[in-house]
Amino acid sequence: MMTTISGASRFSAGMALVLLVILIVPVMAAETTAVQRTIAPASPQPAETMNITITVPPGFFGGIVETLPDGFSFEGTSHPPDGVKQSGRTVIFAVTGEKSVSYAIRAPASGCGVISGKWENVGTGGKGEIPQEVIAVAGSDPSQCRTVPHTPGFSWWIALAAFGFIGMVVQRQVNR
Amino acid sequence: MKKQTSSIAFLLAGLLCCCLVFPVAGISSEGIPRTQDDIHDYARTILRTEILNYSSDVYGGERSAHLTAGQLADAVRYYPEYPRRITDSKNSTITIVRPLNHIVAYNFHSMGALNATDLVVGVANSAMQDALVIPAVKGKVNIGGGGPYEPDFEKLLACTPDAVLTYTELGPGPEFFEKRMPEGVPVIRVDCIRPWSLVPEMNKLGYIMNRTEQSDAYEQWHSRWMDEIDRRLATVPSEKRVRAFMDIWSTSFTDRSNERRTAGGGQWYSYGRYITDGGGVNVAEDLTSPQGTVDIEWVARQNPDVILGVMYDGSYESPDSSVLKTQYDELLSHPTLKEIPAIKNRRVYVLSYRYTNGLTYPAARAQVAKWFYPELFADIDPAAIHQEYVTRFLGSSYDVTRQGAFSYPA
Repeated sequence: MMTTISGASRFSAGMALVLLVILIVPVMAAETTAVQRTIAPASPQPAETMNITITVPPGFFGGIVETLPDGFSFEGTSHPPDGVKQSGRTVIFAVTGEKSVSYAIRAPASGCGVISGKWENVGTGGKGEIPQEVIAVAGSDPSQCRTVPHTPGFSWWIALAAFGFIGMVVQRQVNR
Repeated sequence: MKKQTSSIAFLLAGLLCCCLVFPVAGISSEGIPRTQDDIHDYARTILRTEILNYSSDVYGGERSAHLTAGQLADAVRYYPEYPRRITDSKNSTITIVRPLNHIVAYNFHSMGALNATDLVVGVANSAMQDALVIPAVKGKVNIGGGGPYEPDFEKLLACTPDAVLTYTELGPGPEFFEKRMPEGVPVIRVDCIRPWSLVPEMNKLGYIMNRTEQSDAYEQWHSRWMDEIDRRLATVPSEKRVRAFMDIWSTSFTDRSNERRTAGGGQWYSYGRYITDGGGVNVAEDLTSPQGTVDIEWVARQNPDVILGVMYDGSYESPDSSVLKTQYDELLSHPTLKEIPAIKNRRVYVLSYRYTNGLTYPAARAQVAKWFYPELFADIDPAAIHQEYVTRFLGSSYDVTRQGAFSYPA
Protein backbone atom coordinates (compact mmCIF):
# COMPACT_ATOMS: atom_id res chain seq x y z
CA MET A 1 0.00 0.00 0.00
CA MET A 2 1.33 3.39 -0.99
CA THR A 3 1.95 5.90 1.72
CA THR A 4 0.51 9.33 1.11
CA ILE A 5 1.08 12.65 2.78
CA SER A 6 -1.42 15.40 3.27
CA GLY A 7 -0.82 19.01 2.31
CA ALA A 8 -0.95 20.05 5.94
CA SER A 9 1.73 17.53 6.89
CA ARG A 10 3.91 18.64 3.98
CA PHE A 11 3.55 22.20 5.18
CA SER A 12 4.42 21.19 8.74
CA ALA A 13 7.56 19.35 7.64
CA GLY A 14 8.72 22.35 5.61
CA MET A 15 7.96 24.74 8.44
CA ALA A 16 9.87 22.57 10.90
CA LEU A 17 12.97 22.74 8.73
CA VAL A 18 12.69 26.48 8.33
CA LEU A 19 12.27 26.87 12.08
CA LEU A 20 15.32 24.69 12.71
CA VAL A 21 17.43 26.87 10.43
CA ILE A 22 16.07 30.05 11.99
CA LEU A 23 16.74 28.83 15.51
CA ILE A 24 20.07 27.09 15.12
CA VAL A 25 22.01 29.12 12.59
CA PRO A 26 22.01 32.39 14.58
CA VAL A 27 23.17 30.50 17.70
CA MET A 28 26.09 29.00 15.80
CA ALA A 29 26.92 32.29 14.19
CA ALA A 30 26.80 34.02 17.58
CA GLU A 31 29.23 31.49 19.07
CA THR A 32 31.58 31.96 16.11
CA THR A 33 31.74 35.69 16.51
CA ALA A 34 32.02 35.46 20.29
CA VAL A 35 35.37 33.63 20.23
CA GLN A 36 37.73 36.51 19.65
CA ARG A 37 41.39 37.32 19.98
CA THR A 38 42.93 40.60 21.12
CA ILE A 39 46.64 41.33 20.82
CA ALA A 40 48.47 44.00 22.78
CA PRO A 41 50.42 45.69 21.47
CA ALA A 42 49.28 44.96 17.94
CA SER A 43 52.62 46.12 16.51
CA PRO A 44 55.39 45.07 18.88
CA GLN A 45 58.86 46.46 19.18
CA PRO A 46 61.71 44.01 18.46
CA ALA A 47 61.81 41.25 21.12
CA GLU A 48 58.84 42.76 22.94
CA THR A 49 56.43 40.53 24.85
CA MET A 50 52.85 40.65 23.62
CA ASN A 51 49.78 39.67 25.58
CA ILE A 52 47.11 37.72 23.74
CA THR A 53 43.65 37.23 25.13
CA ILE A 54 41.03 34.89 23.71
CA THR A 55 37.53 35.58 24.95
CA VAL A 56 34.89 32.88 24.75
CA PRO A 57 31.12 32.94 25.21
CA PRO A 58 29.62 32.14 28.61
CA GLY A 59 29.46 28.42 29.33
CA PHE A 60 32.15 27.54 26.81
CA PHE A 61 33.71 24.13 27.41
CA GLY A 62 36.20 23.09 24.83
CA GLY A 63 39.52 23.46 23.15
CA ILE A 64 41.28 26.46 21.65
CA VAL A 65 44.16 25.65 19.33
CA GLU A 66 46.44 28.57 18.57
CA THR A 67 49.16 28.42 15.94
CA LEU A 68 51.83 31.01 16.71
CA PRO A 69 53.56 33.03 13.99
CA ASP A 70 56.83 31.63 12.79
CA GLY A 71 59.68 33.25 14.72
CA PHE A 72 57.54 34.24 17.71
CA SER A 73 58.06 32.29 20.93
CA PHE A 74 55.55 31.19 23.57
CA GLU A 75 56.38 32.90 26.86
CA GLY A 76 53.74 31.51 29.20
CA THR A 77 50.15 31.71 30.27
CA SER A 78 47.99 32.48 33.27
CA HIS A 79 45.76 29.53 32.32
CA PRO A 80 45.95 26.56 34.73
CA PRO A 81 48.90 24.29 33.85
CA ASP A 82 46.70 21.18 33.50
CA GLY A 83 44.71 23.02 30.84
CA VAL A 84 47.60 23.85 28.52
CA LYS A 85 49.61 21.83 26.06
CA GLN A 86 52.32 23.20 23.80
CA SER A 87 53.95 21.44 20.91
CA GLY A 88 56.15 23.56 18.66
CA ARG A 89 54.14 26.53 17.41
CA THR A 90 50.86 24.97 18.49
CA VAL A 91 49.43 25.85 21.88
CA ILE A 92 46.22 24.14 23.01
CA PHE A 93 44.06 25.40 25.83
CA ALA A 94 41.33 23.40 27.55
CA VAL A 95 38.61 25.77 28.65
CA THR A 96 36.27 24.55 31.39
CA GLY A 97 34.00 27.50 32.03
CA GLU A 98 36.61 30.28 32.09
CA LYS A 99 35.63 33.49 30.32
CA SER A 100 38.97 34.00 28.64
CA VAL A 101 42.43 32.61 28.08
CA SER A 102 45.52 34.81 28.22
CA TYR A 103 49.02 34.03 27.14
CA ALA A 104 52.19 35.83 26.14
CA ILE A 105 54.46 35.54 23.14
CA ARG A 106 57.75 37.26 22.39
CA ALA A 107 58.34 38.94 19.09
CA PRO A 108 61.53 38.33 17.10
CA ALA A 109 64.05 41.08 16.36
CA SER A 110 62.36 41.73 13.06
CA GLY A 111 59.87 40.34 10.61
CA CYS A 112 56.25 39.46 10.67
CA GLY A 113 54.00 36.45 10.95
CA VAL A 114 50.44 35.22 10.98
CA ILE A 115 48.68 34.00 14.08
CA SER A 116 45.72 31.68 13.60
CA GLY A 117 43.44 29.65 15.78
CA LYS A 118 40.63 27.12 15.90
CA TRP A 119 38.11 26.34 18.58
CA GLU A 120 35.63 23.66 19.37
CA ASN A 121 32.95 23.80 22.02
CA VAL A 122 32.73 20.16 23.07
CA GLY A 123 29.56 20.84 25.02
CA THR A 124 27.59 22.05 22.00
CA GLY A 125 29.61 20.56 19.16
CA GLY A 126 30.11 24.03 17.67
CA LYS A 127 33.47 24.71 16.08
CA GLY A 128 35.16 27.39 14.06
CA GLU A 129 38.21 29.51 13.45
CA ILE A 130 39.55 32.57 15.21
CA PRO A 131 40.36 35.14 12.52
CA GLN A 132 43.96 35.17 11.38
CA GLU A 133 45.98 38.27 12.09
CA VAL A 134 49.28 39.53 10.80
CA ILE A 135 51.74 40.64 13.46
CA ALA A 136 54.60 42.77 12.20
CA VAL A 137 57.52 43.90 14.34
CA ALA A 138 57.95 47.66 14.21
CA GLY A 139 60.02 48.58 11.17
CA SER A 140 59.11 45.41 9.30
CA ASP A 141 56.99 45.22 6.18
CA PRO A 142 53.67 43.50 7.00
CA SER A 143 52.99 42.90 3.32
CA GLN A 144 55.63 40.16 3.47
CA CYS A 145 53.17 38.13 5.56
CA ARG A 146 49.79 37.24 4.18
CA THR A 147 46.93 35.46 5.74
CA VAL A 148 45.96 32.24 4.06
CA PRO A 149 42.41 31.92 2.76
CA HIS A 150 39.87 31.16 5.43
CA THR A 151 39.13 27.48 5.80
CA PRO A 152 35.49 27.14 6.56
CA GLY A 153 34.65 25.49 9.82
CA PHE A 154 31.08 24.64 10.67
CA SER A 155 29.94 28.13 9.71
CA TRP A 156 26.39 29.32 9.13
CA TRP A 157 26.26 28.81 5.40
CA ILE A 158 27.50 25.23 5.76
CA ALA A 159 24.71 24.64 8.24
CA LEU A 160 22.23 26.23 5.86
CA ALA A 161 23.41 24.04 3.00
CA ALA A 162 23.16 20.97 5.19
CA PHE A 163 19.62 21.76 6.21
CA GLY A 164 18.75 22.49 2.60
CA PHE A 165 20.08 19.10 1.63
CA ILE A 166 18.07 17.40 4.38
CA GLY A 167 15.04 19.32 3.15
CA MET A 168 15.55 18.01 -0.37
CA VAL A 169 15.86 14.45 0.90
CA VAL A 170 12.68 14.80 2.92
CA GLN A 171 10.87 16.32 -0.04
CA ARG A 172 11.92 13.45 -2.29
CA GLN A 173 10.70 10.95 0.28
CA VAL A 174 7.43 12.79 0.51
CA ASN A 175 6.93 12.94 -3.26
CA ARG A 176 7.71 9.27 -3.74
CA MET B 1 4.17 8.93 6.36
CA LYS B 2 4.55 7.94 9.99
CA LYS B 3 7.05 5.32 8.99
CA GLN B 4 9.10 7.79 6.93
CA THR B 5 9.03 10.47 9.61
CA SER B 6 10.03 8.03 12.31
CA SER B 7 12.86 6.72 10.09
CA ILE B 8 14.22 10.24 9.70
CA ALA B 9 13.78 10.91 13.40
CA PHE B 10 15.57 7.67 14.15
CA LEU B 11 18.41 8.67 11.81
CA LEU B 12 18.75 12.06 13.48
CA ALA B 13 18.54 10.49 16.92
CA GLY B 14 21.25 8.08 15.90
CA LEU B 15 23.46 10.94 14.77
CA LEU B 16 22.90 12.71 18.06
CA CYS B 17 23.30 9.59 20.16
CA CYS B 18 26.26 9.65 22.53
CA CYS B 19 28.02 6.83 24.31
CA LEU B 20 27.75 7.05 28.08
CA VAL B 21 31.00 5.81 29.42
CA PHE B 22 34.44 5.03 28.12
CA PRO B 23 37.33 3.08 29.55
CA VAL B 24 40.79 4.52 29.00
CA ALA B 25 43.67 2.15 29.56
CA GLY B 26 47.12 2.97 30.83
CA ILE B 27 46.47 6.12 32.81
CA SER B 28 47.83 5.97 36.33
CA SER B 29 45.66 6.14 39.39
CA GLU B 30 45.23 9.59 40.88
CA GLY B 31 43.55 8.54 44.09
CA ILE B 32 39.90 8.62 45.04
CA PRO B 33 38.23 11.99 45.73
CA ARG B 34 36.21 11.92 48.93
CA THR B 35 34.54 15.30 49.37
CA GLN B 36 32.22 17.11 46.99
CA ASP B 37 34.89 19.75 46.35
CA ASP B 38 37.46 17.05 45.61
CA ILE B 39 35.06 15.35 43.20
CA HIS B 40 34.49 18.63 41.37
CA ASP B 41 38.19 19.47 41.28
CA TYR B 42 39.04 16.06 39.92
CA ALA B 43 36.25 16.32 37.33
CA ARG B 44 37.81 19.55 36.08
CA THR B 45 41.24 17.92 35.87
CA ILE B 46 39.86 14.95 33.94
CA LEU B 47 37.86 17.15 31.60
CA ARG B 48 40.82 19.41 30.86
CA THR B 49 43.00 16.41 30.12
CA GLU B 50 40.41 14.91 27.84
CA ILE B 51 39.80 18.19 25.99
CA LEU B 52 43.55 18.63 25.47
CA ASN B 53 43.95 15.07 24.20
CA TYR B 54 40.91 15.38 21.96
CA SER B 55 42.08 18.72 20.54
CA SER B 56 45.62 17.42 20.06
CA ASP B 57 44.29 14.49 18.10
CA VAL B 58 41.69 16.34 16.01
CA TYR B 59 43.59 19.59 15.39
CA GLY B 60 47.21 18.81 16.20
CA GLY B 61 47.56 15.38 14.62
CA GLU B 62 48.89 13.86 17.84
CA ARG B 63 47.32 10.47 18.44
CA SER B 64 46.30 9.76 22.01
CA ALA B 65 43.47 8.00 23.82
CA HIS B 66 40.63 10.35 24.64
CA LEU B 67 36.88 10.54 25.09
CA THR B 68 34.84 10.81 21.90
CA ALA B 69 33.04 14.03 20.99
CA GLY B 70 29.76 12.52 22.20
CA GLN B 71 31.28 11.45 25.50
CA LEU B 72 32.81 14.89 26.00
CA ALA B 73 29.39 16.45 25.39
CA ASP B 74 27.94 14.17 28.07
CA ALA B 75 30.77 14.99 30.45
CA VAL B 76 30.07 18.72 30.01
CA ARG B 77 26.37 18.14 30.53
CA TYR B 78 26.98 16.50 33.91
CA TYR B 79 29.92 18.69 34.93
CA PRO B 80 31.11 19.27 37.68
CA GLU B 81 29.71 16.03 39.14
CA TYR B 82 31.24 14.14 36.22
CA PRO B 83 33.47 12.93 34.67
CA ARG B 84 34.73 10.52 37.32
CA ARG B 85 37.69 8.23 37.02
CA ILE B 86 39.14 5.27 38.89
CA THR B 87 41.84 2.69 38.36
CA ASP B 88 40.15 -0.64 38.97
CA SER B 89 41.76 -3.63 40.65
CA LYS B 90 42.96 -4.93 37.29
CA ASN B 91 44.79 -1.63 36.79
CA SER B 92 42.46 -0.41 34.04
CA THR B 93 41.50 3.23 34.06
CA ILE B 94 37.74 3.65 33.99
CA THR B 95 36.19 7.00 33.10
CA ILE B 96 32.50 7.61 33.72
CA VAL B 97 30.96 10.65 32.01
CA ARG B 98 27.44 10.48 33.39
CA PRO B 99 25.61 8.81 36.29
CA LEU B 100 25.48 5.03 36.07
CA ASN B 101 21.99 3.61 36.44
CA HIS B 102 21.98 0.44 34.36
CA ILE B 103 24.69 -1.74 35.81
CA VAL B 104 25.05 -5.47 35.30
CA ALA B 105 26.59 -6.49 38.63
CA TYR B 106 28.07 -9.87 37.85
CA ASN B 107 29.94 -9.15 41.08
CA PHE B 108 27.09 -8.09 43.36
CA HIS B 109 28.99 -8.11 46.68
CA SER B 110 29.15 -4.36 47.21
CA MET B 111 25.78 -3.28 45.87
CA GLY B 112 23.77 -3.83 49.05
CA ALA B 113 26.22 -2.08 51.36
CA LEU B 114 26.52 0.83 48.93
CA ASN B 115 22.73 1.11 48.78
CA ALA B 116 23.15 0.88 45.01
CA THR B 117 20.78 -1.96 44.17
CA ASP B 118 18.54 0.56 42.40
CA LEU B 119 21.35 1.11 39.87
CA VAL B 120 21.51 -2.59 39.03
CA VAL B 121 19.56 -4.22 36.20
CA GLY B 122 21.22 -7.61 35.96
CA VAL B 123 23.02 -10.01 38.28
CA ALA B 124 24.70 -13.39 38.18
CA ASN B 125 22.79 -16.42 39.35
CA SER B 126 25.04 -16.58 42.42
CA ALA B 127 23.73 -13.19 43.60
CA MET B 128 20.32 -14.76 44.16
CA GLN B 129 21.83 -16.37 47.27
CA ASP B 130 21.69 -12.92 48.86
CA ALA B 131 17.95 -12.58 48.37
CA LEU B 132 17.26 -13.27 52.05
CA VAL B 133 19.20 -10.19 53.12
CA ILE B 134 18.81 -8.12 49.93
CA PRO B 135 15.30 -8.89 48.65
CA ALA B 136 15.70 -6.38 45.78
CA VAL B 137 17.97 -8.85 44.00
CA LYS B 138 14.91 -10.94 43.13
CA GLY B 139 13.69 -8.16 40.85
CA LYS B 140 16.87 -8.12 38.76
CA VAL B 141 17.52 -9.97 35.53
CA ASN B 142 19.35 -13.22 36.29
CA ILE B 143 21.99 -13.49 33.56
CA GLY B 144 23.17 -16.84 34.90
CA GLY B 145 26.66 -17.90 35.85
CA GLY B 146 28.43 -16.68 38.94
CA GLY B 147 31.87 -17.20 40.39
CA PRO B 148 33.81 -19.22 37.84
CA TYR B 149 30.81 -19.96 35.63
CA GLU B 150 29.96 -17.98 32.49
CA PRO B 151 26.72 -16.04 32.29
CA ASP B 152 24.42 -15.89 29.28
CA PHE B 153 25.94 -13.13 27.15
CA GLU B 154 22.75 -12.48 25.21
CA LYS B 155 20.87 -11.89 28.46
CA LEU B 156 23.62 -9.56 29.55
CA LEU B 157 23.34 -7.52 26.33
CA ALA B 158 19.57 -7.44 26.63
CA CYS B 159 20.02 -5.53 29.90
CA THR B 160 21.59 -2.67 27.82
CA PRO B 161 24.08 -2.04 30.60
CA ASP B 162 25.98 1.21 31.03
CA ALA B 163 28.65 -0.71 32.96
CA VAL B 164 29.53 -4.26 33.94
CA LEU B 165 30.92 -5.00 37.36
CA THR B 166 32.91 -8.21 37.68
CA TYR B 167 35.93 -9.78 39.38
CA THR B 168 39.66 -9.53 38.73
CA GLU B 169 40.24 -13.27 38.50
CA LEU B 170 37.01 -15.11 39.19
CA GLY B 171 34.71 -15.78 36.27
CA PRO B 172 35.07 -14.87 32.62
CA GLY B 173 38.08 -12.87 31.48
CA PRO B 174 38.55 -10.12 28.88
CA GLU B 175 37.75 -12.45 25.98
CA PHE B 176 34.25 -12.85 27.35
CA PHE B 177 33.53 -9.37 28.72
CA GLU B 178 35.84 -6.55 27.58
CA LYS B 179 36.23 -7.68 23.97
CA ARG B 180 32.54 -8.31 23.43
CA MET B 181 30.88 -5.41 25.19
CA PRO B 182 29.49 -2.55 23.06
CA GLU B 183 31.81 0.45 22.75
CA GLY B 184 31.55 2.78 25.68
CA VAL B 185 30.41 0.17 28.21
CA PRO B 186 33.23 -0.25 30.72
CA VAL B 187 33.98 -3.52 32.45
CA ILE B 188 34.96 -2.65 36.00
CA ARG B 189 36.97 -5.31 37.74
CA VAL B 190 36.96 -5.23 41.52
CA ASP B 191 36.58 -8.10 43.97
CA CYS B 192 35.26 -6.95 47.35
CA ILE B 193 36.21 -10.41 48.60
CA ARG B 194 39.83 -9.93 49.67
CA PRO B 195 40.61 -8.52 53.12
CA TRP B 196 43.31 -6.12 51.95
CA SER B 197 41.28 -4.48 49.19
CA LEU B 198 37.78 -4.20 50.69
CA VAL B 199 38.05 -0.55 51.72
CA PRO B 200 39.81 0.86 48.63
CA GLU B 201 37.46 -1.04 46.34
CA MET B 202 34.39 0.15 48.21
CA ASN B 203 35.67 3.72 48.06
CA LYS B 204 36.25 3.48 44.31
CA LEU B 205 32.80 2.06 43.72
CA GLY B 206 31.20 4.55 46.08
CA TYR B 207 32.81 7.36 44.09
CA ILE B 208 31.85 6.22 40.59
CA MET B 209 28.36 5.18 41.66
CA ASN B 210 27.79 8.38 43.58
CA ARG B 211 27.52 6.56 46.88
CA THR B 212 30.41 8.11 48.80
CA GLU B 213 28.36 8.52 51.96
CA GLN B 214 27.83 4.76 52.08
CA SER B 215 31.45 3.90 51.24
CA ASP B 216 32.67 6.33 53.90
CA ALA B 217 30.36 4.72 56.46
CA TYR B 218 31.63 1.27 55.52
CA GLU B 219 35.24 2.37 55.87
CA GLN B 220 34.54 3.79 59.33
CA TRP B 221 32.81 0.60 60.46
CA HIS B 222 35.53 -1.59 58.96
CA SER B 223 38.35 0.45 60.50
CA ARG B 224 36.72 0.56 63.92
CA TRP B 225 36.68 -3.24 64.23
CA MET B 226 39.93 -3.94 62.43
CA ASP B 227 41.76 -1.41 64.62
CA GLU B 228 40.24 -2.90 67.77
CA ILE B 229 41.32 -6.41 66.76
CA ASP B 230 44.81 -5.15 65.86
CA ARG B 231 45.11 -3.39 69.23
CA ARG B 232 44.28 -6.54 71.16
CA LEU B 233 46.42 -8.90 69.08
CA ALA B 234 49.42 -6.58 69.49
CA THR B 235 49.52 -7.64 73.14
CA VAL B 236 50.10 -11.32 72.26
CA PRO B 237 53.83 -12.15 72.46
CA SER B 238 55.25 -14.07 69.53
CA GLU B 239 56.00 -17.19 71.63
CA LYS B 240 52.35 -17.43 72.59
CA ARG B 241 50.95 -17.19 69.08
CA VAL B 242 48.88 -20.22 68.13
CA ARG B 243 50.17 -22.36 65.28
CA ALA B 244 47.32 -23.06 62.91
CA PHE B 245 46.66 -25.11 59.81
CA MET B 246 44.23 -23.76 57.23
CA ASP B 247 42.02 -26.48 55.79
CA ILE B 248 40.21 -25.43 52.61
CA TRP B 249 37.41 -27.87 52.16
CA SER B 250 35.89 -29.14 48.97
CA THR B 251 34.45 -32.51 48.13
CA SER B 252 36.95 -33.16 45.36
CA PHE B 253 39.79 -32.94 47.84
CA THR B 254 38.31 -34.71 50.79
CA ASP B 255 37.30 -37.65 48.62
CA ARG B 256 41.01 -38.30 48.51
CA SER B 257 41.34 -38.71 52.24
CA ASN B 258 45.13 -38.70 52.27
CA GLU B 259 45.30 -35.12 50.94
CA ARG B 260 44.21 -31.75 52.25
CA ARG B 261 44.20 -28.36 50.62
CA THR B 262 45.74 -25.40 52.37
CA ALA B 263 47.13 -21.92 51.66
CA GLY B 264 50.74 -20.75 51.90
CA GLY B 265 51.80 -17.17 52.42
CA GLY B 266 52.62 -16.49 48.79
CA GLN B 267 49.36 -17.53 47.22
CA TRP B 268 47.15 -14.89 45.68
CA TYR B 269 44.14 -16.22 47.47
CA SER B 270 43.49 -14.77 50.88
CA TYR B 271 42.93 -17.88 52.99
CA GLY B 272 46.42 -18.00 54.52
CA ARG B 273 45.87 -14.47 55.71
CA TYR B 274 42.91 -15.49 57.82
CA ILE B 275 45.32 -17.19 60.20
CA THR B 276 47.83 -14.34 60.40
CA ASP B 277 45.07 -11.72 60.63
CA GLY B 278 43.73 -13.67 63.59
CA GLY B 279 47.11 -13.43 65.31
CA GLY B 280 48.19 -16.98 64.50
CA VAL B 281 51.16 -18.54 62.76
CA ASN B 282 50.34 -20.35 59.52
CA VAL B 283 52.15 -23.71 59.62
CA ALA B 284 52.01 -23.73 55.81
CA GLU B 285 53.36 -20.20 55.45
CA ASP B 286 56.38 -21.33 53.42
CA LEU B 287 54.44 -23.66 51.17
CA THR B 288 54.91 -22.80 47.51
CA SER B 289 52.58 -25.30 45.86
CA PRO B 290 50.17 -23.26 43.77
CA GLN B 291 47.32 -25.70 44.44
CA GLY B 292 48.08 -25.83 48.15
CA THR B 293 47.75 -29.61 48.22
CA VAL B 294 49.47 -31.36 51.12
CA ASP B 295 49.64 -34.91 52.36
CA ILE B 296 47.70 -35.60 55.55
CA GLU B 297 50.90 -36.96 57.10
CA TRP B 298 52.51 -33.58 56.45
CA VAL B 299 49.70 -31.91 58.37
CA ALA B 300 50.20 -34.27 61.30
CA ARG B 301 53.93 -33.53 61.33
CA GLN B 302 53.26 -29.79 61.64
CA ASN B 303 51.48 -30.55 64.94
CA PRO B 304 49.19 -27.48 64.77
CA ASP B 305 47.44 -26.08 67.86
CA VAL B 306 44.40 -25.20 65.79
CA ILE B 307 42.84 -26.25 62.48
CA LEU B 308 40.91 -23.46 60.84
CA GLY B 309 38.58 -24.73 58.14
CA VAL B 310 37.00 -22.74 55.35
CA MET B 311 34.13 -24.39 53.53
CA TYR B 312 32.67 -23.55 50.12
CA ASP B 313 29.19 -23.67 51.54
CA GLY B 314 26.96 -21.92 54.01
CA SER B 315 25.93 -18.28 54.43
CA TYR B 316 22.56 -16.58 54.66
CA GLU B 317 20.41 -19.07 52.78
CA SER B 318 21.50 -22.06 54.89
CA PRO B 319 18.89 -22.99 57.51
CA ASP B 320 21.54 -23.51 60.21
CA SER B 321 25.23 -24.10 60.69
CA SER B 322 25.01 -27.89 60.43
CA VAL B 323 26.35 -27.74 56.87
CA LEU B 324 29.71 -26.62 58.27
CA LYS B 325 29.74 -29.51 60.73
CA THR B 326 30.60 -31.88 57.86
CA GLN B 327 34.11 -30.52 57.62
CA TYR B 328 34.43 -30.26 61.38
CA ASP B 329 33.48 -33.89 61.89
CA GLU B 330 35.71 -35.07 59.08
CA LEU B 331 38.76 -33.42 60.62
CA LEU B 332 38.02 -34.52 64.15
CA SER B 333 37.55 -38.13 63.10
CA HIS B 334 40.56 -38.42 60.77
CA PRO B 335 42.78 -41.21 62.16
CA THR B 336 46.03 -39.60 60.99
CA LEU B 337 45.33 -36.40 62.91
CA LYS B 338 44.10 -37.85 66.18
CA GLU B 339 47.33 -37.18 68.12
CA ILE B 340 47.81 -33.52 67.18
CA PRO B 341 46.94 -30.82 69.77
CA ALA B 342 44.23 -29.31 67.57
CA ILE B 343 42.27 -32.57 67.62
CA LYS B 344 43.03 -33.64 71.16
CA ASN B 345 41.91 -30.23 72.44
CA ARG B 346 39.02 -30.06 69.95
CA ARG B 347 40.30 -26.79 68.59
CA VAL B 348 38.88 -27.25 65.12
CA TYR B 349 36.83 -24.40 63.70
CA VAL B 350 35.06 -23.91 60.40
CA LEU B 351 34.00 -20.75 58.58
CA SER B 352 31.76 -20.30 55.56
CA TYR B 353 33.82 -18.83 52.70
CA ARG B 354 31.09 -16.28 52.11
CA TYR B 355 31.54 -15.01 55.65
CA THR B 356 35.30 -14.54 55.24
CA ASN B 357 35.41 -13.56 51.55
CA GLY B 358 33.39 -10.42 51.64
CA LEU B 359 32.47 -7.22 53.35
CA THR B 360 31.68 -9.08 56.58
CA TYR B 361 35.39 -9.79 57.01
CA PRO B 362 35.81 -7.73 60.22
CA ALA B 363 33.23 -9.99 61.90
CA ALA B 364 34.84 -13.17 60.54
CA ARG B 365 38.25 -11.93 61.63
CA ALA B 366 36.95 -11.23 65.12
CA GLN B 367 35.61 -14.79 65.19
CA VAL B 368 39.01 -16.25 64.26
CA ALA B 369 40.83 -14.05 66.79
CA LYS B 370 38.37 -15.11 69.49
CA TRP B 371 38.86 -18.80 68.65
CA PHE B 372 42.63 -18.32 68.83
CA TYR B 373 42.63 -16.17 72.00
CA PRO B 374 39.30 -16.65 73.79
CA GLU B 375 40.25 -14.74 76.93
CA LEU B 376 41.57 -11.74 75.06
CA PHE B 377 38.35 -11.43 73.07
CA ALA B 378 35.92 -12.58 75.77
CA ASP B 379 33.90 -9.37 75.54
CA ILE B 380 33.79 -9.32 71.72
CA ASP B 381 30.78 -10.92 70.06
CA PRO B 382 31.54 -11.62 66.38
CA ALA B 383 27.88 -12.35 65.67
CA ALA B 384 26.97 -8.91 66.98
CA ILE B 385 29.51 -7.33 64.61
CA HIS B 386 28.00 -9.35 61.79
CA GLN B 387 24.49 -8.33 62.82
CA GLU B 388 25.57 -4.70 62.86
CA TYR B 389 26.67 -5.03 59.23
CA VAL B 390 23.45 -6.76 58.16
CA THR B 391 21.19 -4.30 59.96
CA ARG B 392 23.05 -1.09 59.24
CA PHE B 393 24.41 -1.63 55.73
CA LEU B 394 21.90 -4.02 54.22
CA GLY B 395 18.91 -2.63 56.08
CA SER B 396 17.79 -6.18 56.76
CA SER B 397 15.99 -7.67 59.76
CA TYR B 398 17.74 -11.01 59.14
CA ASP B 399 18.96 -12.45 62.47
CA VAL B 400 22.42 -13.97 62.05
CA THR B 401 22.12 -15.78 65.38
CA ARG B 402 18.99 -17.67 64.33
CA GLN B 403 19.56 -18.30 60.62
CA GLY B 404 22.38 -19.07 58.27
CA ALA B 405 25.70 -20.89 58.44
CA PHE B 406 28.68 -18.65 59.12
CA SER B 407 30.87 -20.39 61.66
CA TYR B 408 31.05 -23.72 63.49
CA PRO B 409 31.00 -24.26 66.37
CA ALA B 410 28.84 -21.15 66.55
